[in-house]
Amino acid sequence: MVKQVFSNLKKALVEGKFVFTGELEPHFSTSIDDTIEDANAMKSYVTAANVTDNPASDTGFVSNVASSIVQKETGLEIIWQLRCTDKNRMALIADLLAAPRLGLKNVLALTGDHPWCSPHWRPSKPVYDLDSTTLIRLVNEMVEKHTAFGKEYAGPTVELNVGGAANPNAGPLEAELLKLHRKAKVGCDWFQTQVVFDVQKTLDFLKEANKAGVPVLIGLFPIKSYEVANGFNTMVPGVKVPDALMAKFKQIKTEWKNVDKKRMEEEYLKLNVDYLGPFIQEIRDKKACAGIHIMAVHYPTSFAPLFKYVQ
Amino acid sequence: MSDILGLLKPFEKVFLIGCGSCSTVCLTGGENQVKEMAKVLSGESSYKYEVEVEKEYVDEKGKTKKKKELETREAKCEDKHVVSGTIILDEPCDIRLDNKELPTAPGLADADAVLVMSCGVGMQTVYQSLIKAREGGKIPKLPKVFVSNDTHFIGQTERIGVFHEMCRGCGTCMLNETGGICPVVLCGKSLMNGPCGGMIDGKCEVKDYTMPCGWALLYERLKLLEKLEQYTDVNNPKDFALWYSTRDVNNR
Repeated sequence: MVKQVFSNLKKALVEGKFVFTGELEPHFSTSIDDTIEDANAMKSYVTAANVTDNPASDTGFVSNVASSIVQKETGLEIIWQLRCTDKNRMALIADLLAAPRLGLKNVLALTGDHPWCSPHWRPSKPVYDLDSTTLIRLVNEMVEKHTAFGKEYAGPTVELNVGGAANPNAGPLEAELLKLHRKAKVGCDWFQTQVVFDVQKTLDFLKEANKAGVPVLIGLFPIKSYEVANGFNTMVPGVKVPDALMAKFKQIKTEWKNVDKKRMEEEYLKLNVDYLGPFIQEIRDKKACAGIHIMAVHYPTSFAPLFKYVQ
Repeated sequence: MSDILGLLKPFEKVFLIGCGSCSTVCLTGGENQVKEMAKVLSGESSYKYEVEVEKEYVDEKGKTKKKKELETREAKCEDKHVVSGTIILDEPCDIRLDNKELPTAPGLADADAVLVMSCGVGMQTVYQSLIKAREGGKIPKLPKVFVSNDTHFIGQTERIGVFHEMCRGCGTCMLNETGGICPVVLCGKSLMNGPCGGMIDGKCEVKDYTMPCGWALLYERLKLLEKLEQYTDVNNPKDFALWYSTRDVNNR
């Protein structure tokens, strides 16, 4: 069955263009002004951008409303993230029913981090009535059959393309890869991956992941500072900033921190471009995947120099 | 222990009920624990408790910092309880047994309070049985009934005192499809279609990667059984209508 094309993202993927997507993260705040600012900073470089849904179980401004506002106010197409941690099937369906009215065209269906991952919200009751696979299946049922769990809904049909997540850092990797095949079975339109730093590991992962027949966008993360890099190594299991890159971050910090902070930031940015630029080029030249998902969260200044390098 | 003493504080005469099956192997309500509880309540033995204390330490940069730690202390119960009697029931969760044994148990008639050292089923069953006994005039007054344990799960015994949660009684068993690995219990999120993104080196993001990922276990088991193709099957969400409180079974 040929999947319908609703979004510019899906269109670009079908046309085989090498796609770039970005990431926007609403805060634990009643304002999304800074999210709109970040969206404006990245919109000329990306086909679409994700708006996160309580990432790492740190709660924030509700994702479907934020997605709609940002999309309308900036013109940047949004990939609305929706996770199963916080909502049962009724609440998920209620959100999906609002999608046409909110003008949303993409949804990224996620299982979602456990409340355990965020010490402040640890006592919260997790839901997981559905998981990423059954959520993807639900979205496609609502799109194709105009029903949700067999019940017909009224009004215009939900028109959403639906993506899923993949984790190249997972282990045992074969279990992760089998799961990607399972998500492909229920009609996943694309995969966006967790952060990677190692080119060879990424290429090895893609060789296997591509067998699922779903376009893969590899997740890259421009690192704002030595502290952020160190945070990855100590706090995000499975994600490792390569030693050589780590050493360079440390060197910049040692050299400039107490001398010239502006210069330090410039050096950090240059290091990101020098590392991620060739990374992206190699993956693109080898046609190893469908595109890149750049998680420059709260780091919009990294976009222009990075894209100047790869274009 | 401090919680239990707080609950029992207003009551002079306390009757203790142990459990001869599960709580005996759990080391939470067998004969030895009942004896120990009797000594603590009468003030004969001391009991241990934990308090959170702030301690100073020096970090790797030489700075003095404070952190909270649990410290074990000992104390004696000063409430001068009288243990009016004790009984170890084979299974306090069997109401027939409670109805038969409890009304005539020496010391029960005098008791102001009853402490049941079993799981939540045992405590509830004992309470039901005593209410019935009082209504039938078999005991002179109804004592207050308390439970000494927080029941965590229905477990598999590894050895005495060491248990693993294996079943959550969901009512729609998947074990025949999963090669005997239950994702409801063993997956930190009870996912029907895992693993999620939190599986790293076969460990789960819940509990900071100290416990195994259920979907990694499921993968290893299906691999062992040469049925890995089943791993890509799409499982339907659970029917939570079967989880509604309260559940009863009548197979007669």
